[in-house]
Amino acid sequence: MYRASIPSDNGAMMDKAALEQRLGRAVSDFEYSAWQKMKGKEPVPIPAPAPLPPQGSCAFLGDYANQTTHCGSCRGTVQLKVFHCGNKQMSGKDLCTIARPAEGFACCNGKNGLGCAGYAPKVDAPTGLQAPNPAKRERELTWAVGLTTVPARRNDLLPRTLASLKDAGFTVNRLFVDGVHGNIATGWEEQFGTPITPRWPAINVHGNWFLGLGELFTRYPTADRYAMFQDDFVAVRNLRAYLDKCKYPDNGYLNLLTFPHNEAYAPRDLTVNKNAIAGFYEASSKKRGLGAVALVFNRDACMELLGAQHMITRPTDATGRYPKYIDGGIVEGMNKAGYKEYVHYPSLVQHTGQQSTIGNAPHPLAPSFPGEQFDALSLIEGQAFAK
Amino acid sequence: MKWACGMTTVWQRGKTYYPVAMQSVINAGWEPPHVFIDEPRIGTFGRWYLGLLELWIRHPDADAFVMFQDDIELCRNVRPYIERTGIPDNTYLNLVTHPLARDVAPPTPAGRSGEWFTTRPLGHGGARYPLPNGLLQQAGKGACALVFPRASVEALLKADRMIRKPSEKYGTCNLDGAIVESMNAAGYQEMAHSPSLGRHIGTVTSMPGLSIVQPQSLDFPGTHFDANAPL
Repeated sequence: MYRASIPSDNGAMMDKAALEQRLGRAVSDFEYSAWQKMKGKEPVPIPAPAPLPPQGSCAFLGDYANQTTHCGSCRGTVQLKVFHCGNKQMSGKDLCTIARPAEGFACCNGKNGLGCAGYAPKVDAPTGLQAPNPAKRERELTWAVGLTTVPARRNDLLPRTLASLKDAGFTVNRLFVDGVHGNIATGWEEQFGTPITPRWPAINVHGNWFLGLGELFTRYPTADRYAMFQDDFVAVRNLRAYLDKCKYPDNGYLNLLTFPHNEAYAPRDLTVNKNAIAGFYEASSKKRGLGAVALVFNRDACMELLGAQHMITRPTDATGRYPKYIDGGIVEGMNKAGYKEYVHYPSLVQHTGQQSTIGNAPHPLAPSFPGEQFDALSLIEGQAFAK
Repeated sequence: MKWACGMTTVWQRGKTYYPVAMQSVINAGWEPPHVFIDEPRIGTFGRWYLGLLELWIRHPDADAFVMFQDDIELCRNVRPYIERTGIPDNTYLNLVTHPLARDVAPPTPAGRSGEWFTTRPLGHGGARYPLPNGLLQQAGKGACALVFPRASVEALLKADRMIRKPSEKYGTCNLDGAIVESMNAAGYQEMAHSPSLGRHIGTVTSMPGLSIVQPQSLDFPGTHFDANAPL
């Protein structure tokens, strides 16, 4: 840093005050002394850093040797696993421990200064050359996507929903199937090419959805977005890419299905043609929640919902709404945590399930849904949209 | 007392520890537990937490919840014993007494039943970690067989520590520590029993990459011991 910020004076001596005057700012002792050392000399090569102590897995770490040994440095009767060592130069020590040292074995734990002489860092094999992409400056958002379904929809609505999600750019990470025994789970996985979590006996809508979100977060705890879908809707094309571009609302979550009731509250361009403006806006139906076929949460919202008192105590609700209604539970739990539901104009998905599997009244269709062939990337946030 | 009972396991233990543990749980007086198989692997913590959540959703009217891991043995009639003694207020029970807890365990004189005791606080020597609610942070050793009264399950499931755990560095393991921290923060203390009502029989952990296994209880009276009988 200082090399770039302190000017060269062609070898002439200059005291600290003169240097400060020339630079127009204070110069630290470290900077001044470095400047003095550098005057008229070639840059001093930076010495190579000392080798790091062992970190991560050792390249020679072999399989578990099916034996344990007493841990001399642990309290109590702790046993350590013993592993094979593949380093032929470690004569006489072809076994090692990896956490703590044990007498008679090598130990790979460099953190405590117990580095093994034969340690070599494990290097992952290259996965292929990739040319740098100058346009790709921002990190892509990572998504964890789950979908809840039931066996009754295996051959009609579910395949259609999955095909539409594929066109929308989503890869479904896991299907949560309510009412399927684990013994026949593999048939589902082969049919859809997606891992499934079977629930047997059936646990109903709330349980399957809430456990699904919990599992999604547990399996992908560092994802940027968590999408929980149901099995009866279709989406516009490139939906995921569009959502990646949209600003995620603070203290909010996204409902991709916009009910007619909510469409009436979409912001409008009053200066030109009074068309509704494309983009997300706060849903009007507080504490009601309209539809949960396609909800998107960021990490904070996901964790807030998983720990929401309302969602946890909902199974004990005696009002009769549980376990059939999930949307109201979510919006109420999130509202209590200070989060709001946001919907989009136009609706980004359309409900296709006209007959509820649990006897609920059919959802009304979203009038503003522009169709499966509509490319979401053609939407421009903040500009009027006419279907 | 209405119970909800669950057990976590992995496929590779299906013919080793699991049948032993299942039989032992039944001998201890519980119905065959709901089994949560960790396949494909989600990790010890995740499977246990999601298992407890599923029990909670499936049995919202249960008075007590018990979660087992697949490598335990229990005394006979532990369930009736717990129903007889009751679960002390603001506590949860660890049925497997860790050897390190013995220094705070009460003596168990012959001729009477054992008793529940509060497990040791975290810290070596005189170091202690007081919490804002006045409790001392406990060490929480082992999660092979834990019994929760209904109110404590609600507190545990919504505990921030439990929710955030998967995103931590050791997000798939150290289950016992996360539970005791969450419970202590919510005002619940862990209690164990002297003598131990259960024993950890897993000599090698099923967690990939981990080499340390929990030591076994030293005062477990055996699987044929009737927990309701005097010592």
